[in-house]
Amino acid sequence: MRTTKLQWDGSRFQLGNLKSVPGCSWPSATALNTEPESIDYVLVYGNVDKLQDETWAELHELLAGSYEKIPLPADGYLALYRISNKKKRKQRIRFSARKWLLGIKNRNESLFYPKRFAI
Amino acid sequence: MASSALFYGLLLLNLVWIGSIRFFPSMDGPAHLHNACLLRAMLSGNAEILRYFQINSFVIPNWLSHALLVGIGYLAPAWLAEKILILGYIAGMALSFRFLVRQANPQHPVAALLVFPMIYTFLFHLGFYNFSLAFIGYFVALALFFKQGAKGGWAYHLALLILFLLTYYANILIFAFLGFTLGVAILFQSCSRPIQWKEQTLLAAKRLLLLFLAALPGLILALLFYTRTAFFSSGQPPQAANLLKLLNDGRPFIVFSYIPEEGITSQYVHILLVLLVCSFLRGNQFFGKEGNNKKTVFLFLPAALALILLFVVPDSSGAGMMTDRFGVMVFLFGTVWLASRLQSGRLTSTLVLILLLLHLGLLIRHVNGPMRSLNNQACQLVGISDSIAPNSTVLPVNLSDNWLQTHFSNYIGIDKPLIILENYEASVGWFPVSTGQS
Repeated sequence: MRTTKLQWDGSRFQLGNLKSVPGCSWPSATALNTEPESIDYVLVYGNVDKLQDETWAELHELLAGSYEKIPLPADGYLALYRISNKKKRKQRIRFSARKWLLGIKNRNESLFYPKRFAI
Repeated sequence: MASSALFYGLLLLNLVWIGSIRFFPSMDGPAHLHNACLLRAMLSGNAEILRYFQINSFVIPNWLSHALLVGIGYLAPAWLAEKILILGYIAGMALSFRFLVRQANPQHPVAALLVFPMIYTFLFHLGFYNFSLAFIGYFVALALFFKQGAKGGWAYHLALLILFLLTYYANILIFAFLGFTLGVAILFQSCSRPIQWKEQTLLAAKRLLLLFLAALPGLILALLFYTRTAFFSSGQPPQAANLLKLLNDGRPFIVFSYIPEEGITSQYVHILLVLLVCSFLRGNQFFGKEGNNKKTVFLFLPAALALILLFVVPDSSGAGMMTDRFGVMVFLFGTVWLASRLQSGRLTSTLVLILLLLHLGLLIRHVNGPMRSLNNQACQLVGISDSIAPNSTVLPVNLSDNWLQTHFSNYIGIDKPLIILENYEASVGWFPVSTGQS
């Protein structure tokens, strides 16, 4: 179980490798001593069809690449995306390799990996 | 007798009508429900939620509705907890106002009916539950003042202390107005007694001291809150012409659609004004000869103070939306003053009846129109939380064109602890849940 207390920092915005996506922002919880962490779900609500607009192209692309859509009754009000297992596995491998390379036994002692929400 | 039957019949109708939809859809309501869920998770030691949030270490105002939602939430699902809170507010407003009227104007119980249109303010529909609940404490405290008069003993002052604290925990501004109203009431009552000047001064000083002591715990908390909390920066006061339009249109009661609703709410204002004029024309001068009016004449002062503040305080100062807050206060305190002066009669009864018909029309329009469709969307959001694992992080993307849905994403986290990356309450610092960085 993770127990490190996180620091919220409203000035940090990251989505994947992007610092922002047009029209979409969120606070980032950061702590200097934990590994990056993915957002588990993305909830789109309102006029879901707008996601096809050019404005949301980047978000649409990111969702298509890293998330899987959960089937819901199609009335155009809601869409729910869950992080794909493939993406999760990739991240676990990446972080394990980094920890091994840096010889970090206890991740809480590391100052190298800012905790952030990222897709 | 007839007015009592009408009062309770209308109250029942209001409760049934609002109770007919599962959620009371509002802008901040889902955030309150979600944060009540987070509070329950933190109180039960959910380590995952405690990584992201903490319970505000200072006993801030704004706790009342959250404490009620947390408490009821242990026994009932969130939608039912909200329903109990909302129906409790409606019944509490109506009954506390009636209690006040029975003390301040016992000969004319028809005045109690004036409360019904005043319950559904714009801010209540926005989800300002604490601000709205504070008026119940204000009405009850004022009613107790009239009931006890100068004879109030320790039980009365203990009741005042509790009401002051409850009002503080609901809304700090109404808490201040309660202190002001009772202070002024003591001064008026002391001055109107046929006793020696020295005796009057001593009596007033003693009663003011007891009032101060009753308010002291709340005052200390209020002082600490102001010194510890960062508020929004102030701007310019709104333009006078806009404020006059706000008052004439009955803006504090317009919720979903300005122009069609303004047709009803502006009639509220005009009827209330005609009733006020009638109360003067029917032999009740401002400082009237009739004992009752003399006893309650000070009640115009809270409304007048709210009116002055409406014109001088910038909208963005304090916790923001000050114009809307003072607008609501002008009408509610003004209605208290009017109710204390109102006299029964054919014209009064006719005007009150028209007011109630307009109120019912607006209520039906709200519930059957926008509230029902917003309720359906809220139910959909709650429904999909079954597909989300507890303690997950969720990024909401709001593509709604409806401004009222700003915090609708929070509906997915009202019965299940989730880290929703749109939690305005946790970020501002004057709510029970905090990110610890505000």
